[in-house]
Amino acid sequence: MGLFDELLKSAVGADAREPEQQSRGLVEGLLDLLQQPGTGGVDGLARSFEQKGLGAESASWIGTGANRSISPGQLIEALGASQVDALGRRAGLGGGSAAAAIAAILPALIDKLTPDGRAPQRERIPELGGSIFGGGAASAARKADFSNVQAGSSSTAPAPAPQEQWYTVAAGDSLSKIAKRFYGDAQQWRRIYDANREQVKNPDLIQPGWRLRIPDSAQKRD
Amino acid sequence: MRIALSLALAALLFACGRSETSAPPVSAPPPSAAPAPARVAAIELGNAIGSDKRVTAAADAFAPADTIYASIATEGSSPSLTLTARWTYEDGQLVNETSETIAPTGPATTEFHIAKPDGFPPGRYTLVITANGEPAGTRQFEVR
Repeated sequence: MGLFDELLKSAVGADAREPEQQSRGLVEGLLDLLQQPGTGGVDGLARSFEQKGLGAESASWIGTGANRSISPGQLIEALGASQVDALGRRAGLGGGSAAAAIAAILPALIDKLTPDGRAPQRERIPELGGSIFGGGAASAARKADFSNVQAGSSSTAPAPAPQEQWYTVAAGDSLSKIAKRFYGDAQQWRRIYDANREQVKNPDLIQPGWRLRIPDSAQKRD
Repeated sequence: MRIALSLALAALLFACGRSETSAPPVSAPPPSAAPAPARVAAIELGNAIGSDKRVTAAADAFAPADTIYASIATEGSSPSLTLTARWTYEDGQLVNETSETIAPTGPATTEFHIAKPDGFPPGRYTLVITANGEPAGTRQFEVR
């Protein structure tokens, strides 16, 4: 991410103790900010600047011409001091340095996100951001194979309560057919039978119009 | 008449006293206050987690053989919050996408992890976290 490192160093001087990490922190923070619904993507950010009288500047970053610069003060005016502070903390930069660094980096970042001179849809920002970090070094020759990646997840939070479903028996239905429909496995008919014992006395005999409880179907489809 | 007035006054004072003592403390939260909706508070990467699902040491650079963990701290409560971790390589290739649906009732930590038996190729990676489909944070890291 050489460009952003250099911009950071030229903006904050000695405060750029770890320019690569600090510029990455700022770029990540700005990408996160752009993706927030409240910001509204590059378009939304550009509107914020426009409302502060900086429409020509933000338009130049999106457009294909030269980027117009803004001062740290103008940046604070447009983004708000608290937002600038939050971004700065992420990069280990204090208020004044943070504003200077972001004022230097933001035009280049927006420029990189808008190679064709148009603001991208908010959903595309992560992908475009990834290509910025990739720095264009990836080549087709290095196409990696991720087919054997092993992944997982877990949480300290409880799982949601199972969603109970109901099904009204139609003509021609059987418990096996219903089990196949909800669980993808006809052999699981007994689960439906057990959950409806009060109504279903004989599992081979269900009547159209009966409402059957389908237990915990979401989990059992796994 | 004077006695009746005194009695009425005493009753009024008694009533006022009762209402004061039975009033709830000012600091008590209103019973109808809705719990704060769940939100992502922090995202950290590391190559190990503890029993609390938090990474033991935050990192943004990994060895190819590392298992890469992302710890997602959430605050607030929700009957159903789906967190999705989408990991991509520098060329935009999808490495993995995993979702975890939780019902947090307060601060919680959810971890996502990826590993590759033959090692991750060196390069830049991006992790995008969404909460119920809304972007909640992006992290970049490097394998070298």
